[in-house]
Parts: sequence; structure tokens; C-alpha cells
Amino acid sequence: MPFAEMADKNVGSLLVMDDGKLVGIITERHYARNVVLKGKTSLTTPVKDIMETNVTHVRPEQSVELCMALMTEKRVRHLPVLEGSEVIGIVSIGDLLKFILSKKEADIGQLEHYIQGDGWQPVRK
Amino acid sequence: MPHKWTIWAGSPPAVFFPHQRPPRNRTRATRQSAIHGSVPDVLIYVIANTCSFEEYYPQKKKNPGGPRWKPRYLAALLPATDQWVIPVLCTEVNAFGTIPVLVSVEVLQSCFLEDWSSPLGLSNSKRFMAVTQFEERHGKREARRRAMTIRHLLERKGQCLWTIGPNTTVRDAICRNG
Repeated sequence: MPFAEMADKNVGSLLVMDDGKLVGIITERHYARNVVLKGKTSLTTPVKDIMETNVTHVRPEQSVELCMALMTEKRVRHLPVLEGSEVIGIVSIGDLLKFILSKKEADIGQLEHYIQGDGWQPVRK
Repeated sequence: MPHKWTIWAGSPPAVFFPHQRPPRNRTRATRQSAIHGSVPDVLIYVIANTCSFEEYYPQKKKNPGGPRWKPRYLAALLPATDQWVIPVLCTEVNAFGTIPVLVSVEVLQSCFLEDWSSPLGLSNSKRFMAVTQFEERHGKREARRRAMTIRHLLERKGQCLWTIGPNTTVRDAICRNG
């Protein structure tokens, strides 16, 4: 099962690039729906037949919350990040959650320090 | 009334409260003295973007008679998104209102969208907060929301792009990437 390899590597999506341009995206969901459920075989099916061509993307300066809202609205779990027309990365819903959780933990830590009055702890180099 | 400074690029680094070395730990006594209104035991050093820490520090080493404070008590600010002026209001909220304080790197990072890496590892001053002009205008919640951008996330996550061509078969593509 080829997608088992993707699972091993924790890769849930692949960007389809043609001449350096983003033309589509293929995820485990596309594979399941367009290959497995339709009785096609991955040996002969080209990626362009099953990929999503209407790719929702984000820009790097956009906020994490906006990204989350976009994922919820469009029902996608992966968003390519484009700077101009260049793909500079991809974010998954797991990445966003991890990032938000770490930020919240930091905030909570700061509040705890403030409430407990632990004081100023200079960093010793 | 909170204090407010504007640092112009091109001007020499501005120094505020270059009075005494902060204690290693803020003891109960120092907290008490702060409450009774003595000079705050923190200082602020703001370096305009024309003078980075790396540029500044060698000069400091050549001039031992200069400022007494240690580099770890410095905070360097890079310019905000679209301007060379750095408007920063730094305050600590305590028993007698707001006083100027050292700003931590984490706070700076959360306040400015610009990339910023600390040469000093300033991760102290957790009790303090900085208020930018943006925060004053749009509120702290909006400023914090804006600060968490996809660029920050990508930097933390690191780059790992898995790409394929449209004419590759699904199996080949997956096996190659896997």
C-alpha cells in the first residue's frame, strides 16, 4: 500500500508542480476517493487525474487564525503557502494546532509567573 | 500616564534609565522598594536598526569606561513593518501604575511582524509587556492575533516540501516521495 509510506513519513499531502508552478494538490483523501473508491489502480493513474486543481493557498503574512478559519470553511487540511507565485511551504491543520497550543502554553506560563510573582530571572550566558 | 518614546533611525542609540545593575533575583525587599516608589531596578536600552548589537558590542568592549550595564540587559528593536521609526511603549503594570521596563524577546517577537533573532537570549522579564502603536490603535487582542503569522509557523516548522509532477503515476510519485 503506497500510502502507508506517506503515513510513515507523516506526509499527508503532495504538491503537484509543473515547471515550478503550483498546479494542484493531492492528499490521502484524494487518493482514497479518486483511486480506491473508483476502483482505479495507482500503477496507471496519473496524478493529474485525481489531484485538486482549485488549490486554496495562503500568504506568509496571513495570520494563523485566518488560516484555521480558511481550513474550516473550505474543509481542507493542507494549505500551500505562496509568496508571489513561489511556493515556500505548506501548513497542515496539525501544524496550526501545534503552533497555537505552544503559544497558549507560553501565555499561560507568563500569567502564572505574573500571578506567583516569581520575579525577574536573568538569563545566564 | 504611561511613558512613550519614539526612536528615529539614524540617531545614536537612546538609553533610558542607565542607573544600576538589576539584581539577579527580584527579592521581596526589592519588590517592596519598587512598590514604595524607588527607582525601578530595570533599564531599557533601545538600539535603532542602524546600530545592531553586533556593531555596538565591540565599541563597548573598546570603551570599558562606558556604560556599566551588561549586554544581557539590553533589548534591541527592529523597525515595525512599514516604517523606520520604532514607536514602542514599554510598561510594567504594578502597584503604583506603569513603569518603563526591559522588554523580552518573546514580547518583541509577538509585537513585531519583522523577523527577529536575539544575540543575547533575552528570555527573561516575563512579567513585562510592551505596547506598540498598533496595539494602542487596534487593541492588544488584534495585535496578538496579527503577530502569529504563517511565516512564524513555517520558520518554526522548517521547510520540507513534497512535490510531484502532474504526469507521474500516483504510485511512482508516492514511492519516490516516500
